Amino acid sequence: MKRALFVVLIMLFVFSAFGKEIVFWTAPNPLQESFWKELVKQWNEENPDIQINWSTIPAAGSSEEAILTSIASGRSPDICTNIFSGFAAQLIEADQLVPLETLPGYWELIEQREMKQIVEGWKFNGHYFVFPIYSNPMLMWWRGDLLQELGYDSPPRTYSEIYEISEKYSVPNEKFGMQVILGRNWWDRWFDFINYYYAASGGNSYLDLERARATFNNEHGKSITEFFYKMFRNNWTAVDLGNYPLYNGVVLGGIRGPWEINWAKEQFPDVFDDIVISPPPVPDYYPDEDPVYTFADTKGLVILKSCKYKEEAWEFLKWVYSNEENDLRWVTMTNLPPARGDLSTNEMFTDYMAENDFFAQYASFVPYAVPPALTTKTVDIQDAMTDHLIEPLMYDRAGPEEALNDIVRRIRTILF
Amino acid sequence: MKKIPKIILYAVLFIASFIWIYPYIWMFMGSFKPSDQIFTTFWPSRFTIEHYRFILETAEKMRRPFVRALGNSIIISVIVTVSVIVSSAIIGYAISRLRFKGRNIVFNFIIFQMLFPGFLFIVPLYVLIRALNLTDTLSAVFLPSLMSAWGIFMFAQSYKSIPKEFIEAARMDGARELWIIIKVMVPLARSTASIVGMFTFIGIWDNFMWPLIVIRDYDKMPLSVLLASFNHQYGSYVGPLLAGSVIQTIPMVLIFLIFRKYFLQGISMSLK
Amino acid sequence: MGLKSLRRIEATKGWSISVVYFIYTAIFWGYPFVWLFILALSKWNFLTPRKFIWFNNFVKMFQDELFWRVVLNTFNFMLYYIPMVLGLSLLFAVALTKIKFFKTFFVLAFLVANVSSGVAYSIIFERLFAINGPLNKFIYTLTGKTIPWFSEPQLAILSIAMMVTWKFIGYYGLILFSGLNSIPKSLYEAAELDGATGWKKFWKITLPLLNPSIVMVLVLAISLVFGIFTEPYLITGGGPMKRTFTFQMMVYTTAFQKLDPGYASTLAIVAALMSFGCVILTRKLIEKEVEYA
Repeated sequence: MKRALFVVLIMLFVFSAFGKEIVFWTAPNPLQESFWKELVKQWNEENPDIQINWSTIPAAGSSEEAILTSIASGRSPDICTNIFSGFAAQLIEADQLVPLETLPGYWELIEQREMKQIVEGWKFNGHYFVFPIYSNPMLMWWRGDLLQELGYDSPPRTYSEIYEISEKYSVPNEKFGMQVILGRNWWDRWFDFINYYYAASGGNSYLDLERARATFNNEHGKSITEFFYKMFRNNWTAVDLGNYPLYNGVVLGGIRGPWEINWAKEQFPDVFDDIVISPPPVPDYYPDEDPVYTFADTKGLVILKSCKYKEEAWEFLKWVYSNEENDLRWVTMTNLPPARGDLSTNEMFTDYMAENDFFAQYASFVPYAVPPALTTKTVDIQDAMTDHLIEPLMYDRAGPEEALNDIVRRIRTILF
Repeated sequence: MKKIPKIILYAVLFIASFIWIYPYIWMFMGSFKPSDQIFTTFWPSRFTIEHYRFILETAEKMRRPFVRALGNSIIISVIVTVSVIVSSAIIGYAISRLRFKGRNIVFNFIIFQMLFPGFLFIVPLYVLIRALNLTDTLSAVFLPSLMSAWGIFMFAQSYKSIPKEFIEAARMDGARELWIIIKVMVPLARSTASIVGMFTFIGIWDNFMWPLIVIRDYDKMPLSVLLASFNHQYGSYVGPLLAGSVIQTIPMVLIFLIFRKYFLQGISMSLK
Repeated sequence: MGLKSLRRIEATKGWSISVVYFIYTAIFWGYPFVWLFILALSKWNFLTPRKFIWFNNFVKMFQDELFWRVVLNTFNFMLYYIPMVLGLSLLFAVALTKIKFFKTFFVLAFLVANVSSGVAYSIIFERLFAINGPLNKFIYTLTGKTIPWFSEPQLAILSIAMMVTWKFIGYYGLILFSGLNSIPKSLYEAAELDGATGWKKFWKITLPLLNPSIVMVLVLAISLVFGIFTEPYLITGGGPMKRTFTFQMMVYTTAFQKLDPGYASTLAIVAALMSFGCVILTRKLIEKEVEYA
């Protein structure tokens, strides 16, 4: 009996020594998938004793939902990417994350990538739980060819200019001036309302977390809601624009992230050449000479506390992120600006930018791209924005003022 | 009835039938059309199997293992269907033809169970599966469905109409109980077995919410969940999605067409 | 062997088979059943220890705007679905009694919708009803307008009701058809002798005698409404304006997105109670004893 137990123990030991497996989840995005696929393969070949079991976050709904249920069922991944700040805060509150600065060589890596300033924005309770991977400004794409036909050489900058071109271009049920609202998912609010608010207010936060209230009940908030209202009431935009409205010429412009660059280049090569990029629209009073701020869609990766081989997991991450070649590959494959401080100075990237105008434009907005507010209530707040701000304006259930007051009151209750 | 209204009636029925099957036709045709013609033409300029190739080969490389998911669905559905038929046939026999104290209690309890809709148990059942540490396993999907109160009830009802002489004659010959069930009862209740089997198979094959909750691993997903997650992440790949939908639909329709006679009987039986 | 011992053997067999069933049921039905109520009285997030909070979840529910939205949605959905599905399947059943040829073909054409996979047909209908999908293209060429099937709040409910109707007409139609067949022909003949016309026969004979089948269809349809999940989850995500947010959607999101299984169980219990309530009410109001005189 004793001997049998001994044999079992030995076997367990042998297995644990040789079969270290790290479960690694990445964003369910085809471009990022192809990036990780090759890297993981390479690592697994070079490190037979530490195998990375890689898959994309298996989500039929949102990534966050998938991660939360995996934690609830005790089968969480060891490393996970695609974590936004609010969700990280939620995971930290539930005590699920490893503080990365406790791992060997953390600061060296940060130093090497000149990320010191960037990680400060991700600091929670004095710890660094998240390793930011990329930071995307969200910009407007316009159909330069169609604008030209209407007699404009440059894309519209202010709401009034958008009204003007919308009036010229729109045909009821067929064509619209602009895609104002991106969708019904909570994260779409980052790209429309919050993005417009950053643009209008010069990068001010939409929430005051210390005083637990929303800050956008001001002239900026008002001009945005009026903009939404006017666009919908005049049929210059619509709730449902069908598939690929920008490329089919159903709309003249809309907010897009850099992840669409490579995709559009492949799928709609003819249209792609005519795309013109501009910052998000601003109210008429916004000074001409000031830079326009945008929302920064920024995601990071985390190591979960349930991970058995934390140091090995960290080894893998260091192996990925200490090699600049990998960053360049990331940029070429995904067009997402990597979170590193030397993007505009490091030759490796400046060469790429010289050849890729689209990416260069996105990269040039990185200094004016503001990340979302750090709140665990992100999803609740942004769901409420959909239900009580955006949709009432879309379907004319409330006027701009009324909707604005309602949502501010609701955010107060959510945060309080 | 006069002739003209009759013709109109037939015409209306034919048109309605066409409308009713149209989604199937559109799905089936669409899965063979080149991508740019799916929405624009009824009869495409050429047919292609690229979408099926995508689903079966490319998706595999994208780590969306459709072949595997199809296998999972088949495993789960076959296990559940066989288990439900066998267990229902035996238990149904016990509570309808074996005399023992408390038999009525068992029978009434089974009817009592049928009163509760399945959705009531989803959350606590998840708690159970989690406690058993079975999340992300195929067992999590099929274990809760191995026996069915409805199946037992159906078998018990149909056994009741079998004359007891059949059983007694078999007993006289020294047949054992299990033998009686297999050789005498089930063949006589063949249509019940088909009804129970068919409805169980269709139900478990199409089950979506439960595997969505308990399975997170792509390799363990049944086809319904993998298809839904593919739809969520690659919604613009319409062709492959249609091909996947065809694969998901075919077994259900096939089973239905083979056992259609029993489907109709099942409907009239559930009325009693 | 005596008769007595044969009896005992039979009883033993009966018991042992029943015991197997009870063990399985205790695990996969009894345990969740008990936990359903424990959870409904608890606050928990799957991770930290569970807290017993008595009826707080129920109190919270009555103050929850979203809960009332869902209740309203459910009835709104029924308002579209039940008349539509009942009327059309009745028409279908009556039509079946009037024809001689192609009967099997028509039955199969309508029934095959019933065995469509929830996921697959949601994917198909989403594309078919899309703003630039085939249906809207057709409508546009006829009228110059498009219909935002899934993006206008009321229309979205109607669209999902239409999808579910598509699926269930064949099934309900056959239930009604077999009900129609069980009405004795002699009754009609007697009525004809009294000079009754087509409509009168329908109102005086068909409808009253069809009552059990109609009640059956209503009960099935009502229970179905409380269990809808796949269609809104895949197509509308509960929107627009939360109009297609169903009880099952709310249970799912509460338990697995907001990690609040306690509140989710409370909602499931209330949904089941409401479903029972509606069924009982329907029976009270509509069910009549039928006698084939």
